[in-house]
Amino acid sequence: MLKKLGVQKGLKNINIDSDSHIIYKKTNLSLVVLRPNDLAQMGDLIGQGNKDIITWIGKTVGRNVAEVVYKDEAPKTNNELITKSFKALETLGFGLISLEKYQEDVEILVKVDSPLYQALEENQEIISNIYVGIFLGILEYIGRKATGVETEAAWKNKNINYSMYDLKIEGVATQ
Amino acid sequence: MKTLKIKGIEYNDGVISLFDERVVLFPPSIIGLLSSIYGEGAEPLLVFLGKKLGRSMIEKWDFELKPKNIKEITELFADIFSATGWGQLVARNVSDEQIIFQLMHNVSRSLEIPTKFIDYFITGYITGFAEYIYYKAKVQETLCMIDDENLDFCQWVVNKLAS
Repeated sequence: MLKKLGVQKGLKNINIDSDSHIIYKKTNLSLVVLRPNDLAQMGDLIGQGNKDIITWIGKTVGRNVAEVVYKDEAPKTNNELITKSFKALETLGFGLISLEKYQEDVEILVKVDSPLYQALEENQEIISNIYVGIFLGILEYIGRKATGVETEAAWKNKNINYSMYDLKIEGVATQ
Repeated sequence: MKTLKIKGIEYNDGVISLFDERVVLFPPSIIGLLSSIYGEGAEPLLVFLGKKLGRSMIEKWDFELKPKNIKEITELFADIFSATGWGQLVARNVSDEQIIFQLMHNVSRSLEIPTKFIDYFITGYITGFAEYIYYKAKVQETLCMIDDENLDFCQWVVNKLAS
């Protein structure tokens, strides 16, 4: 059956080691393949109203990604670390993520084209909260405490294919 | 270290598709996070979640690749499972009544803190598959490399139950 399953195209910067573990580049970040619906179902089990836990899960992912980017690519500025973390998230399939506005210690605006919830008919808010958490986690990694909100959402407005997140930096994060 | 390659996988502008279905690469530590919230209570939740995922995964791939018999569909399940990052799953003694799965290199071992909770999720995942092919099945993890450091695999025994 393996032949039928085949070994065909590859994903750039995603490797599989000799133990069949999926790894981001040559870092120690292990990954598994999930569908957006799987994430939504996890979130749904936790409880739609439990936004804090879902955001917290996202934060952990954001911190993990920022950490491997910091170790692997040695960015020289916070702006560079954030941008490179977004590139890493793109590689993982989170959509096209761009930093629309960067105001050090004040605010950042993030645009996500083709967000994960595009594939869903329900529970889109869960995915949206995961994104907020991821961005807050990246900011936390660089020592910034922030609050985030989705200001434009493709799941609410069928005329757009992106979401926009506004993250207001409130101060220094305590580790 | 090789580049991840799976038939049917495509990448385009931040979107990964597997046979036209959107997927994402996510750290498996998400399972451990759920356990840190719910403690031991996370076990049934993870089994339930795994079951839903395993069931929908095998339904999809059964439709896409149309295996001919239990042996082929089991091999397909093990191959896809192995390609999705959880470890290397091998099916032994595949019959119309029983399957034994062994998981080498359980991804849990690669985490900073290895967690048994990933095994609960995998138990559910295998149950989702087992109930698809047997209709009713009992799935039990009989050997675990997280519990016993001398083992280099985890083992699940799947038994068909009378319907």
